[in-house]
Formats: sequence, structure tokens, C-alpha cells
Amino acid sequence: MKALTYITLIALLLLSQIGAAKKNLELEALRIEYENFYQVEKYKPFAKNEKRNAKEHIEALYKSRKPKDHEVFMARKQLVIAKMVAEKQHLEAELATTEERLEALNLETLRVDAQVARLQADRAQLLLNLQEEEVARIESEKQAALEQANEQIEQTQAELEDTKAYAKQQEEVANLAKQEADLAFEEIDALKRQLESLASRETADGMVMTLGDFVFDSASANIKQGAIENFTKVIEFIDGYPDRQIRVEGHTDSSGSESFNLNLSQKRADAVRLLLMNYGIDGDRVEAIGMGESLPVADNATASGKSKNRRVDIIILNN
Amino acid sequence: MKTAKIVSKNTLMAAMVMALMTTAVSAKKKYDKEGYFKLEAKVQALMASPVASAAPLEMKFIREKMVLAKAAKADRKRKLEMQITEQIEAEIQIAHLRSELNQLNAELLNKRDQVSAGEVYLLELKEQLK
Repeated sequence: MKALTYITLIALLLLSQIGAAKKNLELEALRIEYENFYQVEKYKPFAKNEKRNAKEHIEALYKSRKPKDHEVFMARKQLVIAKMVAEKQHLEAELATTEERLEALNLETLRVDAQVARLQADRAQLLLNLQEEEVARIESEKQAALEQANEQIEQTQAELEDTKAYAKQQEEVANLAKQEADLAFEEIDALKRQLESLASRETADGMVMTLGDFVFDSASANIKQGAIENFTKVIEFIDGYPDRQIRVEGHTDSSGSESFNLNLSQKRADAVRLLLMNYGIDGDRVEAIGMGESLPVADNATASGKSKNRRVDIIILNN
Repeated sequence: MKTAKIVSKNTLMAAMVMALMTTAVSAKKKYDKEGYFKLEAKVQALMASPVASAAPLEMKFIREKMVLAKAAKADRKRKLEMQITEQIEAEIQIAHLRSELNQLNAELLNKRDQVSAGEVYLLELKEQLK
């Protein structure tokens, strides 16, 4: 019985020794894990209380002759907690550093952003200025084109006005010409009538036909064209006496000098002689004499008398 | 025979010392009758919190140990109940730490992403200034 008791006690002792050895290994592993953790550089500043707590737990296990499973478990958990707290504090520190970096970055970004915004604003302003200049240039060109167009319109209007004025002037000229022509026709008609109504009279020298001063241009020896073309009556008068000599006498009124009047009367007599010759009258039959103001037929004191005195007498001389 | 007596005496002494130490430990921590229920409420609150999804392994341990604690309480094994309770408290603390670590890691990653994005953006801005 005693032997059995001893055997049992020895077996228990051996078992307890095996259990203790197992615990010792676990404790050693725990201690190494703690040492390794303690050596990690990044965790050195952190979880100091937790580290101390874990260390105390592990040391207590070492001091205990027969550490309980619960104590080992708790020591391990304390080490885990120490590790996690260290990691947590490390992360918090990292987070703080990162936040500082982010804050600094944000400040730098704001500063650069402001610079960029200022630059963009400057660029925009520059662009706006350029656009404004372009708009001003275009407006200026438009204005110039408008002014040029206005000038052209004004010029065209002026030309139109000028043309209208010229047309009006031409119309007036035409009217005047027409009036003059009408007058000329009337004059010619009058002249023709006067020439056709010419009558001859018997004088001592012979048959006389008197041409009034209406036959000539004023103060001139030029015979009017109308008179030249309507000289038929005179020619018929002369043709009635083909064998007789003809004397053409020029007379004037008393206005002007005597020599002028004499010269004018001679020229008028010559002109009539020349006209007769043009109508086929032989020049040898015709004699032209300027009498001046020497033989008036009416009073030179009146206009009517003067008119009568300005004349050319064509005399069919008696043989 | 003499040796056996000595061994026996030593064993008895060791047993007495251990008993005394156990008594001393027990004297340090007073048993709380409501301790289990308080812990149960604490665990339930934890399971309803985001910590549960952040630390699934720890939650598994806690649930398993809660079963053991309940059994110890039912068997009136106060010492065991107190030990398991202490272990559960440690697991709860670890679960909280795990959750916090996850959160901090996520936050740090997010911040680092922001820094990277900020650096790229700053570089682009500086390019615009050239």
C-alpha cells in the first residue's frame, strides 16, 4: 500500500515536472517574444506602461514555481495588448505626421493654386485686352468703311445732283435753243414776209427796191442767213430787167461817226452786190456804193426815222 | 523512508504555500455576484457595436469563454468564473484595440492617398506655373 502511495506520489511528481517543463518552454517563448517586441525600433517610444505590465506578468511567472495556465494566458494577453497599444500609438503618430504633411501640402497647394489663379487671371485679362483691341480694330475698320461708303454715297449724290443740274441746265439750254430757234424761225418768217412784201417804186434814176436794216446783223455788214435764203423776190425783181445796170446804195442813220457810217454803208452795199452775184447776177451789171448818212429818208431824231434811214436801195437804172 | 517523508513534507509545504498564494490572489480580487451579468451585458453591447465586425476572431473567443463562464457560474466555481471573466475582459480590450487599429490603418491609408493625390495635384499646378 505504501509502495503504491510512493509510486503515485513519484508519478505525480514526474507529471508535475513534465508540466513544469512544458510551462517553462512556453514561458521562454513568451519571454523571447517580449524581448523581440521590446527591440523593435519603431515601437520603442510607445506603450511603456503596457510593456511594463507585460514584463511584470512574465517576471511573475518566472518567479512562480508553478505558474497556472490562467496566469500564462493573461501574461500572453498582456503582451498582445502591449503590442497592439504600441502599434496603435505608432499609427497615431504616423497619422499625426501624415496629417501634418497633408496640412503642409494643402497650404503649399493653396499658395501655388493662388499663383496659378493669378496667372490665369492675368492671362485672361491679357486675352480680354487683345479681344478688346481686336474688337476696336474691327469697329474702326467698319467705321472707316462706313465713312468711305458715306463719302461714296455723298459723292454719288453730288454727282447725281450735278448730273441733274447739268441735265436741267442742258434742258434750259435746249429750251433756250428752242426758244432761240423759234425766235429765229419767227425772225426768218418775218424776214421772209418782209422780203416777199418788198415793193419797188419808180424814181428818177430808175426802179428802186429798198431793203430795210432787218436784212443785216446789227451794226454789221453781214446779211442774215434768213435773208440770203429768201432773196427770191429781189432776184425776180432784177430778173424782170435783164438788160439794165444795177446800182446798190448803202445808207445809214446819223448815229456814230460819219466815216464809220460811210464805211458801214459801203460794206453793206458790197455784201448785197456779192449776194446778187451768188444768185447768178453778172457782177459787171452791179455797182455798189456806200452813201453813209448823207441821204436820209426820214428824221434821224426818232428811232422810227433812224430805222427807215438804215437801208440798202437796189436801183434798176434807167438806160 | 526518511527521504519519502521529506518529499511528502515538501509536497505538503508546497501545497500549503500554493493554497496560501491562491488565497492571497483570491483576497486581492473580490468576487462579484453580478460580475457575470455585467460582463454579459458588456459583451452584448460589444456584439452590437462595429467592433464585432472589426474583430471577428476575438469575438469568437469571447463567445466561447462566455459559455465557459456561464457554466462555471452555474457550477458555483467562483475562482474559475473570475479567471474566465478576467480573460474575457482582456479579449474585450484586445477586440477594442483591433477595431481601433483597423480604423487607424484605414485612416492612415486614406491620409496617405490624400497626400499622394495632393502631391500629384501640386506637381500639376507647378507645371502650369512654368
